[in-house]
Amino acid sequence: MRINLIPDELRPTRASPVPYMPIAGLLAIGLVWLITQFAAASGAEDKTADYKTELKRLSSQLIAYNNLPDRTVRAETERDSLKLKAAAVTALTHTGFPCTPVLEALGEAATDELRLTSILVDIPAGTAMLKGYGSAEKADIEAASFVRALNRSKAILATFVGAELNYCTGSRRGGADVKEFSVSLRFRGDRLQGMLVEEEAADDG
Amino acid sequence: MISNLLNKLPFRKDVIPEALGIHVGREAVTIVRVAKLPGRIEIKAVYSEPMSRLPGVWPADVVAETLRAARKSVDLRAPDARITLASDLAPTHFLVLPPMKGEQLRDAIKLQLQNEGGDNAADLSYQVQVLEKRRERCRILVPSIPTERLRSILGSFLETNCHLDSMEVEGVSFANLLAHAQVSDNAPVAVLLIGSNWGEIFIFRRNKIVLSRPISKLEADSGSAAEAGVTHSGADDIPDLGDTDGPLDPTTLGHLVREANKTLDYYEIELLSPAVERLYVAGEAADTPELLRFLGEQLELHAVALDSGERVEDTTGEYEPTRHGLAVAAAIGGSAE
Repeated sequence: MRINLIPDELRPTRASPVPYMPIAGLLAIGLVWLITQFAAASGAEDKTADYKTELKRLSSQLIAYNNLPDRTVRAETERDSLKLKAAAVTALTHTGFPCTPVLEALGEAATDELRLTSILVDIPAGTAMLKGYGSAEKADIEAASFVRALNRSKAILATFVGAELNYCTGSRRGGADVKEFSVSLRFRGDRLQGMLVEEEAADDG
Repeated sequence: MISNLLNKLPFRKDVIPEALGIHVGREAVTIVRVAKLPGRIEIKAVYSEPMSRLPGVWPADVVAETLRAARKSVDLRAPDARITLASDLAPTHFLVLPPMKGEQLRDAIKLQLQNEGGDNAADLSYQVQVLEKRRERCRILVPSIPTERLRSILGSFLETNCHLDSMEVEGVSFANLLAHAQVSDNAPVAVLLIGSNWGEIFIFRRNKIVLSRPISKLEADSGSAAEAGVTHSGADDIPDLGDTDGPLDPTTLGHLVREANKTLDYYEIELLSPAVERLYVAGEAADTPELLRFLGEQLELHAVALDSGERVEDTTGEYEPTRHGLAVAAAIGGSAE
């Protein structure tokens, strides 16, 4: 027999597992969703870090690419300059001019106070001209010493008759007071003759 | 139904539902905690304590104290807590009414209760169960309790964090216990509940209570056994059960037998029902052989001590069906009709 004198409104409402099941289900789904989102966020963070590294690398590459035109211009200028120098060396070699011993001798003769800026060889005229500069205070003394050293150098005297100072005058270079000088060297007759023959042969060839 | 379904799920396999059965009688409070196993009940804890109270009065303070003491030996928190009350707290009425339904039936019952209990019937909480229909008459079972007392009882248990799910009366609990013990068949059986100075007789048929009658104030009747209607064996046959008061006293025992006989006669003659064949005796002294023999002879019935059957297993060693059976019966509860 089933009798219950307690009216419905006074009976305890016990926690039944049934209403909690959908809630538990929703919580479980929410938990899975959160884990998924967390994993996705972690993955995204990793990807972001990767992208940042890639961006940094590409940015540096881009800067390098942006600098390419300047570098290209510089490289082309250098290339042209090297071509000219190569052509000059080739030309001098063809004339029989002994570049190496002469240049070595010039290096030995020039003091640390002097800077040689150019050497002009005029074979038909039988002369060579050196240009350079030095400090405003000592360049004239150093240039004179340089000329004396050249006139005592065996390598120089084997090719040239001698050297003489053309001028040593004050000038401005890079905002500083300097003295530019010029030294003339006259080829020896026998060496000049040989070089002229070789030059003509080269012209004929 | 859903709870049963959940219990059958694989992850709920090892969850054994436990229930609390509480019996508040006229002289004692009994609390049992049981495990409801398939087809049987296992008693896990028993607590029983005498309680002195006036008839029809709910002693909230005494109960609260008893529950606080009980809490030390029995866990009062249970998913299912059921209480059964003595008839002085929750009287049971047997009404005879013409067949009717719904509001008409409710009004008729209310009128009958008002006739019996006066204006207080308006504040009664009651349940209705039709026991039998015979010709143009229906016998209706109406257990009832004053709503204020019901609230007071619920409050007493709530104070100890015990939420009562169900409240029934002793007659219904006995019916459920006998049904669980599978002893009540077509033939009517009776239960005689005997207290110190009172008694109550219950008659059951087909697992339902069909009649009950309190026999109170036994000491007030000072008549001898012979005056009390003990006719078969005579007053000289009343057993000497010791120097005791209450029902074991020959005078009061005679009165008890007379009133029980009256009730059995009423059931058989007035209600045109088959004779009661067996008497189960419950109460403190129910398992006394001399008492059982005497009652059997006087009432011309096979009298035995109440037994809750083999489907109730005791793991405590403290369970006595005649004393604690009603608390177990409350825990068992009833099945839907």
